[in-house]
Amino acid sequence: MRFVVHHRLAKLLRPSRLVLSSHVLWQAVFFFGALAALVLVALSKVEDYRLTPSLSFDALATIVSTGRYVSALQNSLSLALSASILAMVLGCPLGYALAFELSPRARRWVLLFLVWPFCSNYVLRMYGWQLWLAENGVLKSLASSVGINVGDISLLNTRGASLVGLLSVLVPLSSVLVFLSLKRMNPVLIQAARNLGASAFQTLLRIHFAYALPGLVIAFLLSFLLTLGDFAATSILGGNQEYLIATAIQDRLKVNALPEAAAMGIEMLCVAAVVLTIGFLVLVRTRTEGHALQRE
Amino acid sequence: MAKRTVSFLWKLYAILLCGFVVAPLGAVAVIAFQSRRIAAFPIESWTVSWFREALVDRQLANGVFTSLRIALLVATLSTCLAIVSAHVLCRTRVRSQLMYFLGVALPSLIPVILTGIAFLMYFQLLGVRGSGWSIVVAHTCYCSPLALAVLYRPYLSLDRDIEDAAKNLGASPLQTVLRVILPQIFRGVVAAFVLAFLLSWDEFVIAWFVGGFTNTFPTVLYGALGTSYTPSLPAMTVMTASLSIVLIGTVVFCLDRRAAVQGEMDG
Repeated sequence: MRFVVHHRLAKLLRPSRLVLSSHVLWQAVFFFGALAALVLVALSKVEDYRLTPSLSFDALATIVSTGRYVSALQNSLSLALSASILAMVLGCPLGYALAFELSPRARRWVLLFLVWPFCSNYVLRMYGWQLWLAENGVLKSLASSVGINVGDISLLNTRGASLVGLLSVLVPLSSVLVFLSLKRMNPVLIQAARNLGASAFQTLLRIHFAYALPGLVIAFLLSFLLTLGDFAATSILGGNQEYLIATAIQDRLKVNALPEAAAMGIEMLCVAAVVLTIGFLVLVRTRTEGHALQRE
Repeated sequence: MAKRTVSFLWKLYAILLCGFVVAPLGAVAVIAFQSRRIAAFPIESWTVSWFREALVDRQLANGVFTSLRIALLVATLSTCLAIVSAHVLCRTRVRSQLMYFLGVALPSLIPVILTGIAFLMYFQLLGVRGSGWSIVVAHTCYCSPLALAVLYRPYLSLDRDIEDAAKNLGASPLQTVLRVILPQIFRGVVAAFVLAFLLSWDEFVIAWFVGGFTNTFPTVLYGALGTSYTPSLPAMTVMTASLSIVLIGTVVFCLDRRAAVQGEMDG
C-alpha cells in the first residue's frame, strides 16, 4: 500500500511533469496567490495602523453602500462603455480598410504606424496628449495663429481628454483585431453572394459583419477591461476630475485603508468576471455562426 | 470615378487615424528640442542640450537601468514559461485547452490596476518590501501570456517528423528541445522575447503599485511630470523610443520572414 502511494507520488512529481506545469505553477503561486491575498485583505481590518486578519465584511459593505464608491463604480463603467463603443466605431472601418481597401504596401505602413506608438512609454504618450490639449499647447496655439479665439474652453481635465488619450490606445487595438477577423474571409464569398442576387447592403451585413463580429466582440471586451484598469490617462489627462474606481483606490491607499482598497479590487474583479463571461458566451455563439457560414 | 474617390477616402481615413495615434509621440519628440524649460507652443527656440542633460540625470539613469534589468529578466522568464506552455498546449492532451489558456493568461486579461493592487496586497501580506524583484515576479505573470500568444503558432507548425526522428535516434527530451525544437521556433522565440521585454519596459501601473521605492523609467516619469518636469524627460523618451522602434522592426522582420518561408513551404 505504502509502495503504491509512493509510486503514485513519484509519478506525479516526475521532473518532466514539473517542468511542463511550470507556467501554471508560476501563475498559481504568484498570480492566484495575489488574488487570494486580495480577498484576505478585503476581509481584514486595520487596527492601530496594522492589518489584522479577521473575517469582517466591513470593508466590502462600505464599498457597496457608500455613495461615493457607488458613483465611482458608475463613472468607471460609463467611461469604459463610452471608450469601448467609440473604439469600435472608429476602429471597425479601419479594420475593414486594412482587410479590403488598402494595397499590401499601404497595409504594412498603416500597421507599422498603428503599432509603433506601443513601443514608447505609456505615461509619456499621455503627456504628449497633454501637450496637444493644454493652455499653451499645440491645438490652442494653432487655433490662435489662425485667428480662432478659443477663449477659456479648457480641453484638459475633462472626460473628453481622458477619452482622447484612451482612444489613442484602443483604436489601434480594435482596428487590428477587426482586420485579423476579416482576413479569414474568403473573397469568393462576396462574388458568390452577388451572383445569388444579394444587394451590396445584404452582402455587407451577412458576410462582412458575420466575419468581423468575433473581432468586434474581442475588441469591445479588451477596450472595456483596459479602460477599467487604466489610471494614467484619467489622472494625467482627466486630472482626476471624475471620481473613478482607480482614483478611489489610490485615495484609500494613501490613508492606508488597505481593506477598502482591496474590496474595490474585488468589486473590479467581479465586473471583469461578468464582462469576460458575457464576452465568452457571445464569442462562442458568433464562432458557431461563422462556421455555419463557412460550411455553406 | 466614384471608385477612385471611395478608395481615396479610405486612404484618407487610414492616414487620419494613424496621425491621431502618432500625434502624442510627435508632440513629445518636438518638445524635446525646445530650449524653454516649461513646455509651451509655439516653439521659439531650439536646442539639443536637453539630450545631454537626460544622459547625465542621475534619477533618470537609475530609472532607465532598473527598467532595463527588470525587462531583461521578465523577458527571459516569460519566454521560458511560454515555451513550456506552448508545448503543453500543442503536444500534450490537456483536458481543456481553453481552461489551461485562461488559467495561464488571466493576468493579462483582467484590468491591470486590479493585477497591480492584488500584487500589492500579496507582497504586503508576505511582508516583502517593494523592490525590483517583486516587479520582476509581477511583470512575468503579466507578460508571459503575450509570449505564449506569440509562440503558439510557431510551435503548432513544428515538424513532428523531425522530432520523432530525433527521439528514435536516441535524443533525450532535453536534447530534443535544445537541438531540434528551439532552432525551428527560433524566430518566434526572438519575437516573444522582444515583445515581453517591451511590454515590461513600458509597463507603468503594476510597477507603480508594487515597486515601493524602486523606480522604473515609467514611474520616474509619472512622478516627475508634475513638479520636477524638465525637457530632459521627453529627450530621454525620444532616445528610448528610437531603441524600441529598432526592436519592433526586428520582431516584424522575424515574423515576416517566417510567414514568407511558411508560404514557400506551403506553396
